[in-house]
Amino acid sequence: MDGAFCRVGGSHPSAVMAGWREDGETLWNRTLQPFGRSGIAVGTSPGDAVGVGPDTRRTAALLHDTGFHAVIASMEPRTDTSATVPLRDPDTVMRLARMGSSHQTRLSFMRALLRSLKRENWRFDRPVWSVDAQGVGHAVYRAIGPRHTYSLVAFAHDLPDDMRSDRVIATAWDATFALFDGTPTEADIARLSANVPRQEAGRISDRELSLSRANRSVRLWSHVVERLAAGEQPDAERIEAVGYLMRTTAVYGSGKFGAADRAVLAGRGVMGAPFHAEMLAVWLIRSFSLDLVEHMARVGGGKSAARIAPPLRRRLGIGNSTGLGMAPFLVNHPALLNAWITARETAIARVRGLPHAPAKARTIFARRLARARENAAGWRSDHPVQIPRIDALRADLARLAAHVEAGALDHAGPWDALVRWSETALSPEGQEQLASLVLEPHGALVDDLVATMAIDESESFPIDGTLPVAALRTLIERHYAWAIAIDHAPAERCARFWYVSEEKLEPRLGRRHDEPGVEREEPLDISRAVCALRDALAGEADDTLLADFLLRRPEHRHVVRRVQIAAQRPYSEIRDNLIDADMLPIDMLRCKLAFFGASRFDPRSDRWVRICLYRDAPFPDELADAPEDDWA
Amino acid sequence: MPVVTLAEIDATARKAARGHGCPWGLAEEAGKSARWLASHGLPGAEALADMLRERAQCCTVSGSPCALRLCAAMADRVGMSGEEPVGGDMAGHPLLVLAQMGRTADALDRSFALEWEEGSATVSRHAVSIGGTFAASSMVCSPTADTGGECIPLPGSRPVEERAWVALRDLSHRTLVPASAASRTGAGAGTSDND
Repeated sequence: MDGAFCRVGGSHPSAVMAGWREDGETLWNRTLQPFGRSGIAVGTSPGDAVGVGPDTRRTAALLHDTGFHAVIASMEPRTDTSATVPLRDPDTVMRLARMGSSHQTRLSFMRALLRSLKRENWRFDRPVWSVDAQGVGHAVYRAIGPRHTYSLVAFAHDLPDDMRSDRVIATAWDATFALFDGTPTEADIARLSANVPRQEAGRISDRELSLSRANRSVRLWSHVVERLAAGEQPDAERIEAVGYLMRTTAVYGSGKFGAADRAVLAGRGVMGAPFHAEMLAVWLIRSFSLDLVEHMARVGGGKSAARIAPPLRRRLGIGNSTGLGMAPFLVNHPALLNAWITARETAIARVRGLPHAPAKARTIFARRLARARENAAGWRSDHPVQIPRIDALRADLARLAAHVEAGALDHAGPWDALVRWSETALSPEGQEQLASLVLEPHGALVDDLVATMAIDESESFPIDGTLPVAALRTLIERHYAWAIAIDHAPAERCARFWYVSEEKLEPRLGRRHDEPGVEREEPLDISRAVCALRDALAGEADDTLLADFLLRRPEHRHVVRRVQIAAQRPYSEIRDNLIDADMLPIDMLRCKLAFFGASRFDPRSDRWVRICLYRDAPFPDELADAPEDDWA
Repeated sequence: MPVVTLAEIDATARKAARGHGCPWGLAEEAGKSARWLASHGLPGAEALADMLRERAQCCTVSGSPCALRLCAAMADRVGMSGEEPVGGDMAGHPLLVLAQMGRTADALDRSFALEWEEGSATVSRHAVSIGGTFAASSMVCSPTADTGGECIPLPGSRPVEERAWVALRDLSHRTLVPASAASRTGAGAGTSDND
C-alpha cells in the first residue's frame, strides 16, 4: 500500500502528523489537509505518507494523547526503531539492583502531568485562605481544566514537635489534605474538616480523589520563617541541603478510606493516567507549603516580611517519606508493572534506533546531562548502600560528558552506540541515568507512550485452563529460569516474610525464623511459589488440563495466573528472590518512585526512603509561561 | 448501612476469603467477583459473606468444593473451542457464578448465556441482563452471540448490608499480624524521622 492514510478526526482545519513509510523505516511529519468532516488524510508518496504504518496503535495514541499540533510539529525525519533495536532484556532490567538504580524520565508521571496541564491550558487559583496567626486553618487550591476542576483542600494544624513522625502509625500531622472533585462548598469543607485531619481514622467520600498529609522539615521550616520575617532571604545552602519545606508521608488514592475508585477517573482525560490525581495533589501541596511559610513570616514580621525570591522558591520541592507500603504494589500489579517498564524500554529502543543526532538534539542532551551532573553533585545520603552509588554516578557522568565531548554522537546510530558503551563503561546508576537522558531530546518520539501506561488489569486476570500441564511447564522454564535457579532451602534464602500489621494495616517485613505471624504471610514469595508449582506439576501427566489441576490444587492458582501473565508480559516480574536475607526493599521503592518522577533518593534504612518531588518545577502560576517540560 | 468503594469491596472480600482459609488465587477471585457484582448494583459483598458463613472452614480443608472453586473451574474452561455448555452444582450461590462469568466476558470480550431453573442471564463485555430470580442451585453456561446490554457497571461508592460487611471485615482481620515492638521498629526509618 503506497498510499498510506490515517483518520485524523476532530475539527482541525489541518493536522500535523507523524507517519511511517510502509517499509517502517522513516518517520515523517507533514501538514495535511483532511478531506471533509470525516478527516481522512491521504498521501501518495513517501514524503506524504502518514499515519498507518507498521504500528497503527502508536499512531492513534499520538493523535489521541498529545493534541498533535504542538508535538508533532517539531519532529524531524527519523527512523522508526521499534523493529531495529530490541528492548532491553528483562533479565537485566527486572533485577532488584537495576530497579534500585532507576531514574525519573520524560514518561514519569509528574512530568507527564505538567505537560498535559500546560498543553490543555489549565488555570489555577486559591479561592480560600483562612489560616490564623498560629498557622491553623484551611485553604483551597483549584486546578481548572477544560472539562473538570479539582481542588486541593488543605488543613493546617498546630502540631507539637514531639508528635511529629513520618511513620504510617502516626496519628497527627502538621497539615492534612484531600483532593476534591470539583469546587467544594462550605458544607463540603465542613465535612472534610471533620475527617481529613484524622486521616485513616476518618472517612472521605467519592467526591474526593486522594487523602494525604505532610510534616514540616524541622531543619528548614523555622529558619525560613525567621529569615523571611526579618525581611531577609533564607540561606541558599540550607535550602539546597534539605530541598523542601514539608514532606508528605502518605498519599492515598484509588478508593481507599472512601475516596473515589480508580474507575471513577477512567474517563477523565489526564486524570485517568496512573497516579496523576495523586501527583496533582502533591504539586498543589508544594504551593501550600510555600504559602504557609510566607504566611507565618508575615505573622512574625508584618509588612517588612520578605517573600522567598523566585529562584530560591523554585529550588524547593516537596519531600516525601516512603516505607514498605509501596513495595507490595509492584508485585501485586504485574500487568501494570509490565506496562510501565515496557513504555520506558520502548522509548529507549526508539531513540536507540535513530540514525543521527542532529544539532538540536545534541544541545538538549548536553544541557540535560549538565543538569544531571548538578543534581548528582547535590545528592546527599548517609546510607551505606547509597553513598557509593552516588559516588559512582558522579564519576559515570563525568566519564559520559568526556565521551560525548570526544565525539561519541558523531557517528551513525549514536544513541545506540552510547547505550552500548555505557553497559561496560558505567555503573548501573550511570547506565540508568543515561537511559533516561537519551530520551530528553526526543519528546516527540516517545511522549506518546505515556498513554500506554494506564491499563485495564482485569483483562490479564482470567486463567486459560485449557492449557495442558506440559505447556505450563514450558512457560515456567522459559520465563522463570531466574526463579528456578534459586535454592530456597537455606535459611537465608527464605529469611523474610511479608505481612500486613494490625497497626494501621501497615505492610511489613518479618524475620521468618524468629518472628511470629508467618502463617499470615502475604504472597510476595514469588520465586519460591513458582518452584513449588513446578514441583507440583512434575507429578502430573503431560496432557492434564490446567483447569483440572487447579480444581484439585487451588493453592497454586495465584502463581499460575502470574505465569500466564508473565508469558505475555516480559516485564511483569521482579526477577529476584523477595524473601532473601539480602533483599533490599528500597530497590522496589525507588523503581516506583522514579516512575512518579522523584529525585534525590535518600534511604534512611533498607526499607525507608526519603525523596524530593517537583524540585525546580514551575509553580501553578508559572506553568503557562514556563518552557514545556524543561525542569527535571 | 456502610457506604464503601468498589476498591474497598474488592480488598475486603479478598482478605475475608483468605482469612476464611481460601488459597490466595481463589481469594483474588472472591474479591474481583464481589466488586463486579457491586459495580452492577448486585449484592456482591453480601453474596460472598453468605457463602463463607455457611462453611466452618475453606473447602480446601474439608467438605465439597465451594461455589468459588467450582465457578473458577468453569471460567478456566471457557477457552475450550467447542460450544458445549458447561455447568454443575454451584452450591446455591448463583450470583458468584454470574460474577465469575461476567468478569470473564469483560476480559475476553465474549458473551455467555447462563441458565437455571428459575431464570437466565446474559453477560457480555461490561453488560449484563438478568431475567427471573436467583434461587437455583445448578447452572448451565454456554457461549452466545447475544450481547446483553443492560446494567452497565458504575464506579461509585454504594451501601452494603451491615451484617455482611462486618462479617467480611472480621474475617479479613484474620490476615493481619498483631503488632509487636520489634515489628514496629523494623518498619521505620533507621534514624530520626522528625528532622
